[in-house]
Amino acid sequence: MQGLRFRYSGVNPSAPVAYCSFYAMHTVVEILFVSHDEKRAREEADNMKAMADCLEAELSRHFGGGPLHRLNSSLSFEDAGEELFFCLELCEQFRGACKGYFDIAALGPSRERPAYLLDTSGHRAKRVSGDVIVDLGGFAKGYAAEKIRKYLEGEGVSDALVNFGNSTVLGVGHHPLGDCWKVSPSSDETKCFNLKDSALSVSGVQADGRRHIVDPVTMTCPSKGYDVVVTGKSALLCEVLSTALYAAPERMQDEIMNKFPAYSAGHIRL
Amino acid sequence: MKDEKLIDRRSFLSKIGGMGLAGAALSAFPWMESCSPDRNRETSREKVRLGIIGPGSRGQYLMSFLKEIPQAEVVALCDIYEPNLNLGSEMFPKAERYTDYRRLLENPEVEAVFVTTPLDRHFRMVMDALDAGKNVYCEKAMAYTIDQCKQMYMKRKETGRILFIGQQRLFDPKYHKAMEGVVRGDYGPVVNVRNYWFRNGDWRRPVPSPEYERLINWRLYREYSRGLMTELACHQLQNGTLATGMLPEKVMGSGNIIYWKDGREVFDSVCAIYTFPNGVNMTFESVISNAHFGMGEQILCKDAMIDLPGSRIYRETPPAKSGIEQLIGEIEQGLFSNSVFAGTSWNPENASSDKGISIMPEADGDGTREIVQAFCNSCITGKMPPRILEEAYYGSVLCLLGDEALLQGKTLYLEDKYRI
Repeated sequence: MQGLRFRYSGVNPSAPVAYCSFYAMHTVVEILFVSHDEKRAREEADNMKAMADCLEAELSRHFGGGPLHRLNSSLSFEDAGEELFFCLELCEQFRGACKGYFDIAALGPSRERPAYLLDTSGHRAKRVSGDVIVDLGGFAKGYAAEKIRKYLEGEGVSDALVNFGNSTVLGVGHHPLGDCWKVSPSSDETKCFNLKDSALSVSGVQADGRRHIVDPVTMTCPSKGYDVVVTGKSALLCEVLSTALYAAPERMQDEIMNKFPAYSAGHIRL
Repeated sequence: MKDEKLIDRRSFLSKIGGMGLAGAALSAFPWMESCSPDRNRETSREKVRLGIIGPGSRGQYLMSFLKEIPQAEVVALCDIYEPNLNLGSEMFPKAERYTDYRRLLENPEVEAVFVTTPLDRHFRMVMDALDAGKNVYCEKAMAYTIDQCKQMYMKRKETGRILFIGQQRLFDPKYHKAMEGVVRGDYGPVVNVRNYWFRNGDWRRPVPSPEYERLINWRLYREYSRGLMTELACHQLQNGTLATGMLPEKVMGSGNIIYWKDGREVFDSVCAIYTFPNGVNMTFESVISNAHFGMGEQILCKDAMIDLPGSRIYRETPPAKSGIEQLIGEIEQGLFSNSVFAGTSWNPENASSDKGISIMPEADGDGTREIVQAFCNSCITGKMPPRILEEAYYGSVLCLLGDEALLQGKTLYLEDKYRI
């Protein structure tokens, strides 16, 4: 498959592993998974890439002709399709739970909320004004990571590490030679997160110093002296929470996290 | 007819796709055979006796390579400027001295000549040398006018002698390696070619007394020179023809004297745009009153930018540093450790400081040694390397056409009569 890098190693017979990487959602996806069958592992890698490509077509606002592109180009109710519609519903729920600091319409100048209306009778959606830009950005990465988890489980792969551009990491099962997947942030190698059927997400300014997370309340792009790390079961929720916490002022962070007791958040000082 | 020529050449270049590197290099750049190790061995027991017409700065540079090449023996020198003649004699004390190139051409011992004189003299000297049965290495640009270039090309065909034009990039291995990838389509279609040469200096040479001004600083005067186009652009315009496999069909641009208003007649600032039949543009830009950007030759393809002099490839989507691939090696060794990679999201824009990939780190030199060696070998074997003169011819024709466009302030088209 074009654009897919694949490796397989059976050198350690007690831990044969496959690795694949490909571009999706404007970043690089890497997946390492335990597999005893190289041919099957290759097929699974192909399928995961195809799945990510399909999701990108559904969830990227830059994909011409895709449902999100259509939604952003129109002021009428548009057919969003089942997948996008589900995501839009989820995002609206997360916006409320995060006190407005997770907002997929934060990019546009419109302050009207909700920024879009959903017609549950037919998976249709419309923006409330032409100023609204709906961008699923990091949400789509977390969502795709969860879809990959589900796919792997369906294929009987019990142990895998999924990395979406270093910022969203999902540990399925455990390392073939250990009881978890150990992951450290590159900005602080002394910290180590043990992932076992759990995920982590990191949010902050980009490696080149660019600010890209918008505070939906002040409509500014904050730059703080730390990255936010959130860990918990769902890669999607980790992604949502780390984005919201980075956008939110410190005084709001505990308030948001209190609603998600199964998740932990912390700062990595830069 | 025009299209057929283009397609033929392109398809020829494309056919090298499945070949190994060495084979591909020789097929895409067939003249390289003339300085291959095999050819050097074949000629190693023979010498070509050479005359140097114009042992000035460029002539001496070429002579420095001739001193190192076993197949070369410099037996004659000619210059109308005595200090240069003396410098030539210091390098080759036994060489006979002349002040009239026609007398040098009459010397039967001289088998081949290097013409490293001001541009306006190339045509007459090369034509006379070919008529005298000599093989010729002429510095670029080929001649002062396009008509003269065509006549020189035809004269070579008529006489069957060897004629090289000093386009050393044609022999630069790192250019070949980069160009092979471009021609194979490794980086997607060519969408633009950028050439530029920025310096900060008056481009003058020291003159011992005023009567030598025009003789020594000939590059500044229209009577002898076409300025930045023939001295600099001539080296770079072949990048576009090699990369696209086509000839530009038109050129437009602007040239002015903007800073060095010291009596010179050639432009000190030029910008020319060449357009290929498929709409792809190639630019040449040169200013000699700001050196910030230096010299650059860049092939822009859909998927990568190829920096020819820097010998690097910059992918549009540079590979991300893998976060977890190293785990494979650790698992193979039975290790269980933590992976350090988590952080804010990687995206291709983060990689804007990407240093690119080196095309040929071991390459050195600029192809001059190779082209001089190839010329000596060709004189000995009597075989004119394929396509080398055609490439050089078009390099000169394009820079001359560009200069005409700048002078006339018009868009000029490459006429069919100049296609060979």
